[in-house]
Amino acid sequence: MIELRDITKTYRMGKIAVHALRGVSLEVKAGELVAIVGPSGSGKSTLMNIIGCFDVPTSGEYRLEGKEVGRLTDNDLARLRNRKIGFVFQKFNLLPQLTAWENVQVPLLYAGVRLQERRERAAKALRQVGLGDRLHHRPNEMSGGQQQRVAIARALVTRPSFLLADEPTGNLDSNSGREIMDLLFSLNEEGTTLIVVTHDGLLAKRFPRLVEIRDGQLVREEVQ
Amino acid sequence: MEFITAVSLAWQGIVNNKLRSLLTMLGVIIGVASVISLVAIGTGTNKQVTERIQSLGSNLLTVQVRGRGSDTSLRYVELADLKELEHVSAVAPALTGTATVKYGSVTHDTLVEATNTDYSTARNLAVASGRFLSDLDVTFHHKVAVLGTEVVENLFGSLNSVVGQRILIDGIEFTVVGVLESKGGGGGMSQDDRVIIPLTSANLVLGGQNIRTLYVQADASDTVKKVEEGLNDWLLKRFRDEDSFSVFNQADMLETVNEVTKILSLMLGGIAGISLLVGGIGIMNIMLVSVTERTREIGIRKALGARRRDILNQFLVESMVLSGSGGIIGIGVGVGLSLVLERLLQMPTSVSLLPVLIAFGSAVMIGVFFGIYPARRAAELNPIQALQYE
Ligand SMILES: Nc1ncnc2c1ncn2[C@@H]1O[C@H](COP(=O)(O)OP(=O)(O)OP(=O)(O)O)[C@@H](O)[C@H]1O
Ligand SMILES: [Mg+2]
Repeated sequence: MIELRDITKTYRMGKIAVHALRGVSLEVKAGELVAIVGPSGSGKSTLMNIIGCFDVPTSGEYRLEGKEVGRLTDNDLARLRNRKIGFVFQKFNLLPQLTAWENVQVPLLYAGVRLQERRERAAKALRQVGLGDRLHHRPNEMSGGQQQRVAIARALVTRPSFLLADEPTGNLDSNSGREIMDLLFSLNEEGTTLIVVTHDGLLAKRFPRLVEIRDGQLVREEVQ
Repeated sequence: MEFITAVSLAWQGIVNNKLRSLLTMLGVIIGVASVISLVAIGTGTNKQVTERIQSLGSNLLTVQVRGRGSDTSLRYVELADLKELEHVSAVAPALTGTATVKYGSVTHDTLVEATNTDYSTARNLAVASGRFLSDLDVTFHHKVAVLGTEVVENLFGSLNSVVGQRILIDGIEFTVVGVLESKGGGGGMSQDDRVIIPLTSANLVLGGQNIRTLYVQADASDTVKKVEEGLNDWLLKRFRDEDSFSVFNQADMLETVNEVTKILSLMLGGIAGISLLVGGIGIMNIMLVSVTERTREIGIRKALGARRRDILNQFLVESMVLSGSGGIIGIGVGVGLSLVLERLLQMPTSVSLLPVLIAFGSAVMIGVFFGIYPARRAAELNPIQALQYE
């Protein structure tokens, strides 16, 4: 359960203040499937970063499974990112010197999982995204779609409650983009809450719930 | 995160960047190697000098006579008094000079020492064949000689029965009665290039019997001080002037040598330690570069749940592994260098465990110390900014 109330985020750049979010309130229940749309610079990524516990709001309340995130320490936030949240980036953000298998093991490393179990779980996650035969490939030996699959395997390997994806298909052609979205949807069907930021209007139509954001404010909600 | 995982991660990073890692480690390698080899030289020198001094004889006092006015030396008969002093086990005069020895047509320049029977105990000399000088030799002015092995080699080559042969020392005929055991010590410091003759035969070769150097041996190490006092009293009575003689105690000499070489070792080690420090600065430099280069990696790791401490540890372990590997290579180079110095340049070296451990330990510590600042920089990075870094 995600509860955002009156969230604002202001970036200060010298004397200029950039109001990236100006009072966003949003609730996402467990198991929901939500798309966030809006023009460039409207604050989508800022919102996702706050939901993903990468960043803290300037004001407002954010409760994640009943816990007030604003009061948590750096270490607590790292723990939340590690255990509760899986994040998929537009730019994949894999570690280039590691193989697919090793990349997927990284979050387990910080969760304190032992080597043997890390290997097993990472291999299982890679099989789940259809990359059981690419364990030893490095990112530069894989296509964009495959890299994003590795990133998804990495996000789900800790069995998080929430999967957040910020334009996960932004760097992919339409075909692999569709495949990635299908994969994410299937994960949602298994019970994971899924929030996706997208530019793609067609893609957004596939979501039962759609939230539009403009100039840092929610302007429209659609439930299909 | 387990330590082993962290080390293997760091090791991967080092192997991925072989040349750079090696260059980074170079400072530490040179530092550790020079600490080890310089300290080895210091210890080796100390050992050698100590052995030399001890091989001169144990519980030994050396008297140098300068004299007063025209009274500048002792005569052999006077020494009988000294032998009567308490705890004195040997009194041996020593008159030295150089001479040319000749056997057949072979000649050799060597050191001639004129003395008495006690010389063999006082100076710790043993004969390998034949005999040493006897009391009779001294009493009856026998023209006999005991030769060092190097003289034997030079004069007689491979001839076996040297004892009984006649040689010429500065043109005077002497009979060889014995050959000394080899004492070793190469490199122009040979203790085997010597000829020993009775003091009473010295007139002909060394031009007199005036004794200015005297060796007195005490019967035990704890009576040396007493003998030294008795000796001083006797000499004071004889010359009535403290400045006309001096008595050296072997123990004092050893202590001085030890002190000097200890200071030498510390100085050499200290200088080498500075290069270790410079190596540490090199590591810090490369770690700072590495943190900047890997900003994105740090961002990704933080996004996936790495805490500050995890990132801090990762970079600390990395600089530690870097300096530790440098330290291990440095130990190899240092020990190798010490062996080379000993073999090729005849420098006395002695590698001992403690300096090796200290040098390696300091290398690792320096890695940690100079790794702290870059590692903290990495740990403090904000995950979002780090992820946006190109
Ligand atoms: N670190 C930052 N410092 C200053 N301003 C920032 C920072 N991050 C974002 N902003 C500003 O906040 C606003 C919202 O940015 P955000 O990245 O959330 O937009 P977005 O909706 O994700 O855009 P896009 O669709 O292009 O990704 C923008 O005006 C942006 O310039
Ligand atoms: Mg964005």
